[in-house]
Amino acid sequence: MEIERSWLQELSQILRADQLLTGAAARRGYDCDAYTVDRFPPVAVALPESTAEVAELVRWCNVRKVPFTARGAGTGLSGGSLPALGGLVISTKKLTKILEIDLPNRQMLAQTGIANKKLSDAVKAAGLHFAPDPSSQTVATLGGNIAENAGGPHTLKYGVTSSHVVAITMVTPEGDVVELGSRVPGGPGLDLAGLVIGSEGTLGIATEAWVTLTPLPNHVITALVAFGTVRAATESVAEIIASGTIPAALEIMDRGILGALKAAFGLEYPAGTEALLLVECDGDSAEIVKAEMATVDAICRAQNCLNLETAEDEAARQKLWTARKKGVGAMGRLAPSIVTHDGVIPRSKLPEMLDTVYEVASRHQIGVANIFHAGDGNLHPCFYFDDRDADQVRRVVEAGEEIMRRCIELGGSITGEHGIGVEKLDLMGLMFSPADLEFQAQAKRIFNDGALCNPCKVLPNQKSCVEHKSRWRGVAW
Amino acid sequence: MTLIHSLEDLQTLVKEQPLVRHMSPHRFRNSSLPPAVELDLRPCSGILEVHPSDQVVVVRAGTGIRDLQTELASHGQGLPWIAAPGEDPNLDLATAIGLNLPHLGMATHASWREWVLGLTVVQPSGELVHCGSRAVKNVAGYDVQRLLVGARGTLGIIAEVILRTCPLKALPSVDAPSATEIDFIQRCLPTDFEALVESLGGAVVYADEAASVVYGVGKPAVSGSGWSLIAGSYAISDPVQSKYWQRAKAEFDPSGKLNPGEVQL
Ligand SMILES: Cc1cc2nc3c(=O)[nH]c(=O)nc-3n(C[C@H](O)[C@H](O)[C@H](O)COP(=O)(O)OP(=O)(O)OC[C@H]3O[C@@H](n4cnc5c(N)ncnc54)[C@H](O)[C@@H]3O)c2cc1C
Repeated sequence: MEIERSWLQELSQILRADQLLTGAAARRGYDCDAYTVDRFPPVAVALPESTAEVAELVRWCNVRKVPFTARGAGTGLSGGSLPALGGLVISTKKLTKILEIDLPNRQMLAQTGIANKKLSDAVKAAGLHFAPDPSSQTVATLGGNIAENAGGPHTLKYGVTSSHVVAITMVTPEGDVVELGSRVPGGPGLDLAGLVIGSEGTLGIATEAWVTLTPLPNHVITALVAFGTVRAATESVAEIIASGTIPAALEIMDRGILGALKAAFGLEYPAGTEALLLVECDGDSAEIVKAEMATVDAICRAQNCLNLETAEDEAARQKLWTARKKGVGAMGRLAPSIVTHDGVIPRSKLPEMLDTVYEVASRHQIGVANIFHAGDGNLHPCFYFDDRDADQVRRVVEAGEEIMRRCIELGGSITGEHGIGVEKLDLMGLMFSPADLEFQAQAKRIFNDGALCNPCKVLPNQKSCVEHKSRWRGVAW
Repeated sequence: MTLIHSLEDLQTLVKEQPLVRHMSPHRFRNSSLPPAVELDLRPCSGILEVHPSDQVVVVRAGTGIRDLQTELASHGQGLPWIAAPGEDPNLDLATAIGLNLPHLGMATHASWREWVLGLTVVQPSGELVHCGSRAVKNVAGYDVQRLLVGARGTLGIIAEVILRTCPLKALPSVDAPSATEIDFIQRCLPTDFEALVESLGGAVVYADEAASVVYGVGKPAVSGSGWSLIAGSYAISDPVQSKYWQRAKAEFDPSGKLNPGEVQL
């Protein structure tokens, strides 16, 4: 749908011409995020430069009853920034400033369109960093991290985004500007920032945030361990956690990933390797870090690992991280389409769950590779297939749902970091009863009781979304 | 005081009564409150599930923290909670979580908002609902549990809690001062801490420098960043808190049944 002339005129009162994209190319470019199955174009894309401009845009949307959806870098994996009912995409592309660095209090105030890694880069010289480290961190934005409560390989020890964002400036769905949370956390009262973090842009648009900065550890040891069976790798993870040692990272890559790495980058691993386990221990005391690594070493050897390589200096450590960092990219070269699932199970159930993943994939005759945050019990089975073949798509969807059901049966969750978006709307009912979902809807209505701010996300069966769904639902339906 | 022995009892009573007070008496609750039926959830206690290898425990909210710690220790686990000076030794989970009570391990181990992974809640209608999950990492849906920690029992009655636990060797250790009565807890930014302690002078009972928290007698200092928790009263000064608390109340407890007067909106 072309944007109406009168709307253009009104929006030009708020934004310069170069801050509003209305052409067909732009509308196509913003019709989905990194979950490409569902698509719908916005009528226009706005690029505000300040909190005040965002607020004016949102108020305009309220007057004209235009749906609006916040968008950061568009790396979301569940369709969170898909403009499901069209309307305006409000992009944070021009909200990239660091506004204040408070080193003595180890906090930083930044606009939310800044890339995650830029936050860490800005304070590296001071020996600090922003701890959440999603694999997409070079592009994914602070706002996107807040909206999805993003995690990363080091979440195991350092916690997800909610542990590192203390205060948020947000434009509410009605267009008010509010300050949520406090630079001094832990206080009495309602944790409104805590509710907003992870709410997938449905409770308002975050424009600025105070984040906490974590000291970089003085000592880091990284180990890359090769196993002859996936089971030995997952058992090792369960034992490491049960031993009371909490490494900074515990990541697994299976043979599917290693094959892709070989094909894409020529990387080789010891013969007979079925799984690689990446372990990182860090801290301020060399002695403690060494002792932790010794525990890891003993557990992996008792599980008959094929090879265990450790590194302490930065360059050698980065080399060990190559498989983890390049694994997802390598997958993309294997098949026309990949769907990366995101389920969570209690860590002790990892060995059993991985067996299920392989069994389900083989029964549905689809290729699967696994690269995941094992320490958190956060699985990412990647199915590779050809999305031009409706039958393959159907099998991928069915297999995904089966895996999610099993995660829930084992006491886990249908998403550990990618969010519900539109992708997992239909799975919410597996995890929550209708009363539980209404409980969540009550929480949502505290900020958003209309149908304009990022509609059709997180909660299933929203008014006016059901009949529209067929318009954005992908080839699978 | 009506003793509550089971979830079913709790649901029935809450459904029938027009005004219900729950959570245990505590110095940081409001001291002057309108009459309501008083429910004591402490008999509704005990661990429901413990998963040491996953570092998760599911427990009834009436359980005393001390009892929970003893039980967890036998599994090599614990909560990183170190009671503040003068804290009630029989403090139960529902009260600690409802008030989001500070403690002496905050500098390194944060607090309830980070530890509560999920809740079972009785709503004013008597209906039982769940939020969160047993998974340590979970972003499915809205984190309603975040909202209930610190809501002073005004939005729902916490009946069961899923908590993240810690291996014993990772628990914080603090030389806690011996029990003393305190009147307030105040926290500020680290850079304001010295000035805060100075301005409080003899009112300081214990200064937790690592967390920039002061435990004191008398009144907290007026100036400075941050927040304070004061014995006997709780009034909201921040207009954003006030506005959204009212909206939350209108959604979760429109008839004002739960913990009336606990928060001056
Ligand atoms: C290769 C790859 C690897 C990834 N690895 C990880 C990983 O390790 N861990 C992880 O957690 N995720 C990972 N992701 C998913 C994704 O990168 C994260 O969810 C990220 O936080 C999204 O940020 P974004 O800026 O791209 O947000 P978008 O995709 O643009 O938006 C995501 C959601 O946030 C909302 N939003 C964006 N900005 C704002 C704002 N300012 N205010 C309110 N709402 C807003 C949108 O409406 C949408 O709902 C990965 C994705 C890819 C493609």
